[in-house]
Amino acid sequence: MRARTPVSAAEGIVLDERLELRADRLLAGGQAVLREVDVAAGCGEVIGVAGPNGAGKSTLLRALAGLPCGQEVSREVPRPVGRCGVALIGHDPALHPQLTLAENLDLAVALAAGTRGSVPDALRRVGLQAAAGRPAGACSAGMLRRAGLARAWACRPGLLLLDEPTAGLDGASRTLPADLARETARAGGIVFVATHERQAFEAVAHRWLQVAGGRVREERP
Amino acid sequence: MSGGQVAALVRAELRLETRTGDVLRGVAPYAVAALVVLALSVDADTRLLRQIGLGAGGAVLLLFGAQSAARRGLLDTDAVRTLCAVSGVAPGTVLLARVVTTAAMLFALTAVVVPVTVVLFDLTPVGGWWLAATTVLALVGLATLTALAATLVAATSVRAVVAPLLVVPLSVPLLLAVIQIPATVTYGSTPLSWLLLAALVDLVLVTSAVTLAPWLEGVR
Repeated sequence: MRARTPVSAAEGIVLDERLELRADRLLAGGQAVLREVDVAAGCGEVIGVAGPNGAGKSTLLRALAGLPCGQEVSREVPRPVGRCGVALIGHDPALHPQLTLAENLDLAVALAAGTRGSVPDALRRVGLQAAAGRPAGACSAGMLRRAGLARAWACRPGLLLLDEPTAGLDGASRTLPADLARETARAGGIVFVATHERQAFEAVAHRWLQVAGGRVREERP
Repeated sequence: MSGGQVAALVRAELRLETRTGDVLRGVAPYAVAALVVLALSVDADTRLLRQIGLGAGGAVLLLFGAQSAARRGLLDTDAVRTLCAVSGVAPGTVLLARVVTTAAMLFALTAVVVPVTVVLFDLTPVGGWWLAATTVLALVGLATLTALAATLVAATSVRAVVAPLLVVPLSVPLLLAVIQIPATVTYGSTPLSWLLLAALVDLVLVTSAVTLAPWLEGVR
């Protein structure tokens, strides 16, 4: 495991505090997808989540985000991380089709907890500054993916959950998710990345979880 | 509950309404048409028109206002509901945003319906501040009721039918409170009891909304 980046005291984040998720079962659509889940992460960590399609990676991320995934789910988020908020960037970009990209991001930023970044800057980071006034419904799938990443950049979450973040991105944009993960971790946040494109995050992930056969296991080096 | 989050949700919802015109462009013209048909059906009897004017205007506002419960807005999309849940937006905040948005649309619909009713039914303002205050309370109550109904039936495929059916009967006390004000003032009584009726209905509805918010506005 690589050494975690120290975090400034000014940000009030203590490295000893850990995010913990424990559940006997995690459900998706009423069906148990994962069993005996016990996942923990420290501040400043980037954790890759690998596994075949339908193994439960997205369900794990939803549970980490605090969305309903069963009855006896215990989730503890370090207070400083919780204060900075949670961002789940999933398959659905969570953008309303009749609002422009800038309006969608303005809304997400207004709802987010903690310190927030600037929406124009976030759109510039992902190369969408010229499309800021375009309705999300008139954007391509790749643009929506980038807008989702811009949302995370603008909201500066303490817990960032990326679900297949490289899917649909063009060659020039493929490094954006890893850059976002690196910056979030550097600021003391916790990042989980569920991906089939492991090589895109090998340089940034501190460790990997393997999701398969209804179980989540720590991958041994 | 955060005022900033409520304001952001209301702003986005109203922005969406200005683009889609679900309530004002889709509902208001039909409300005006209904008033015209009602006025034309009473012949040229000005006295009768004046007698039924406020009731007709109130009923039209209630019936067409309840249609806003059938509207699928920003807060009804899975993406925005998930965004709210993940961002830690309290269910009460989401429901309050829904109530404020609905109230804004009802006030806008009222601004269209009232002048048309005054002209068509030859109404003269009776009741002054009593009428204005009771109307405001009635609109707030109707907005709360409409928001509650919209949330209750959000997951059903027959939302457009069921939501107004829930709203209309339960809002009768509010309509009654408003249309009884001019008559009460004309007969020299104080219409305080009607104002208090509207306030009491509002209190019951708001209490219900606060109590039910965690169940109604969670992620489905």
